[in-house]
Amino acid sequence: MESGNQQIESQNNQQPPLMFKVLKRFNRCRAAVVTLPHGDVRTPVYMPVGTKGAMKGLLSENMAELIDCDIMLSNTYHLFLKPGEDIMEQMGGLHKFMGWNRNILTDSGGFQIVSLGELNSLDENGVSFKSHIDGKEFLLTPERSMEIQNKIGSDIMMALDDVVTPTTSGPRVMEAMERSVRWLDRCIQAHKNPDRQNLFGIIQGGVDDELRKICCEMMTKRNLPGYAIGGLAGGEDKEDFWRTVKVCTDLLPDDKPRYVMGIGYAEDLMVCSLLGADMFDCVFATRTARFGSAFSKYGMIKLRKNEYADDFGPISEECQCYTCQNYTRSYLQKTFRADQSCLHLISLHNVQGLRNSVLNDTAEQYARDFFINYYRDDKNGIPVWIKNALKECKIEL
Amino acid sequence: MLTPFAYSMDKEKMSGFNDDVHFQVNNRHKVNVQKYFDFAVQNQPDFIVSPCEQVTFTSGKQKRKRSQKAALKNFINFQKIVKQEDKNQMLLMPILLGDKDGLDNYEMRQIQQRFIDEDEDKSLYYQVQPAAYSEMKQFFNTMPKEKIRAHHGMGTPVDVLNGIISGIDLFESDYPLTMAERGIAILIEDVKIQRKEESQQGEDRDDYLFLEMSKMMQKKDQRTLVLSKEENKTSEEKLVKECECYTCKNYNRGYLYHLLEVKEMNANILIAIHNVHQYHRMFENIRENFDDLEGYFKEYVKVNCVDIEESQLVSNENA
Repeated sequence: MESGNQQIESQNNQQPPLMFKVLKRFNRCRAAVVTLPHGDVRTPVYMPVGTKGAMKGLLSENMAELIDCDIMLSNTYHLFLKPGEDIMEQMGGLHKFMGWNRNILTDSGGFQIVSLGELNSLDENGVSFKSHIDGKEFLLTPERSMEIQNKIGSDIMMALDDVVTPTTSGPRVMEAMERSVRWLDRCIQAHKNPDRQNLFGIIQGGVDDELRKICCEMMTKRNLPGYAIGGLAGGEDKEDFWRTVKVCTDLLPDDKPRYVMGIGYAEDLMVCSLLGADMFDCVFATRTARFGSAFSKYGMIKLRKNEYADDFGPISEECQCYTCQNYTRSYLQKTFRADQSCLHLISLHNVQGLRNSVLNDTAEQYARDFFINYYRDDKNGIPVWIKNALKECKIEL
Repeated sequence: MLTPFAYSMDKEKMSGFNDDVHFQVNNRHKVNVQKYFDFAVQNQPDFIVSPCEQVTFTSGKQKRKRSQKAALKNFINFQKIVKQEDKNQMLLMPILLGDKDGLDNYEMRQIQQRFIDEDEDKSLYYQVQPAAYSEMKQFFNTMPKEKIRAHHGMGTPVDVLNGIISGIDLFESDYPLTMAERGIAILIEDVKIQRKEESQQGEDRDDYLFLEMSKMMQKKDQRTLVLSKEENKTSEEKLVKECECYTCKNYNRGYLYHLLEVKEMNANILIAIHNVHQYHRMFENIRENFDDLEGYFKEYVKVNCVDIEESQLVSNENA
């Protein structure tokens, strides 16, 4: 195994198509720029999810011009089922297919197999599953996942990992973690375009600090362009959540981007960024938008409520986004379909605001204001886990 | 432009329970003229359409009677709105019943004449329903020439062209949008006509030509593309080759097929952008070629239309 690793390490020594430059720091938190094949990404960054090759309700042009979004995420599992990898290849990759000339990150497809498809069996070779659309059977191996993602042509690809929910305990967690490392090696071997696509590894190990440490150690040896922290945001205790993020960000290399997968709540984004993570993704913004909820500085607003029928203010007073500049709560309540651009923007807005405050040396004040405002209307006040996490970041609330 | 009702395919719903004072909106709200007008003033549209009852059900004698009743009621409603003081910049449009039966009978004509007499400078004519060129032409001959003529719900490009030659200025229709909702793209290619020498054309000659054109159009149907068909799956073609719209500049048929397949709402948005753009382009073309409508029509039909029988065959296949 050791000699095999060395071989992989040496193979992986060529310069990846990614540059990471930290502009400024505030304790653990950092404001940086990731340079990718399709332009710069300003971090910390929230990546909106365009599951099936389209953002729900937003055109690519809107994404670029109204929201100024640097990078979006697309799901390999969905694109693999429809339209299929061959069409993807024929059309010249996802960028061209969906008219998006900024960056794209694709996941490995493993997560949706667990969440949507019917998992048939899982062994060392790969995952076999039934499609959630027509029940057809497929086998996803690390090699297949790489092949599909190579055809999609995303700027950042994720290695196939063995996902367990964070509430799982016992030897299964360890098995999954070790298997994820072995699969990562197979992914590195199978990756055909290391000159124009980046491969990120995913740190697993549940909420067990020791396992996470081992995993970090093993994966950082592979010298990848960046690392993701996976297997979180699945119903684990919030204290475990932030501690796990902290353990990982401690051990992951400082000169590489860190991506926490599946994080979308505004408070989680803030805490993780302050702990030193750079990239986040979640369907939360678009999904809640479809149910008529909007983010604001003072927590979530449920736009469907009758009390907004005569409210002629914007969703959020301070927000500079297209929706807030042009439409009132009353209008949105009546039309019900709250414009999603706003919701994306406020997510982006939160992390972007933090970024700017780090650059201006006012991060401490920004974070403090954010949490105080966010929980202003909450009768329980700021949750304890946030206070603890912020203590770690040297911010007193 | 503010109209008193949302256009509905199920027309009985709109006119089913109207009494003398109220009319119904969306089969739910009963509104009287005053209330409607107040609402209109609040919203400050550029045009207000006077409340109207549209009759399309039953036939023969019963229909004629019903039409007359409706026309009279519309007329009374119109009178009420004309009398309102606070008209601001808004223009009124009495809706005249231009049903086939309505146009044919004498009493209806008289009611329509009263509309015209009652009219003020600002008001416009707004006409409902006749499809054939000859009927519309005949109708407009009885109307003052200097007023704008608008038409409600005239849908397909073929209808629009028919409307143009019968003298309609303003068109309103949700056709491009409903088509987009159903995943159907309208295909209108730019029409380039070779200019012929201008000959002296009297009004009679025009009439004759237009009648011929109208007859020609009646056999034609607009060319469209059902994007959800399997054949588009791998197509890298644009919707329309020279189209300058956002959709055609950035996407191909394969992508739209994919979006429809996975039921993404962007599919309808993108097709709607294309369809509406096509309409704008068509109207632009019509204005550019106003001196030679005949040439334009002939070329348009050649490039952008299919025979009605053919298109029905296709739609039957789809069904």
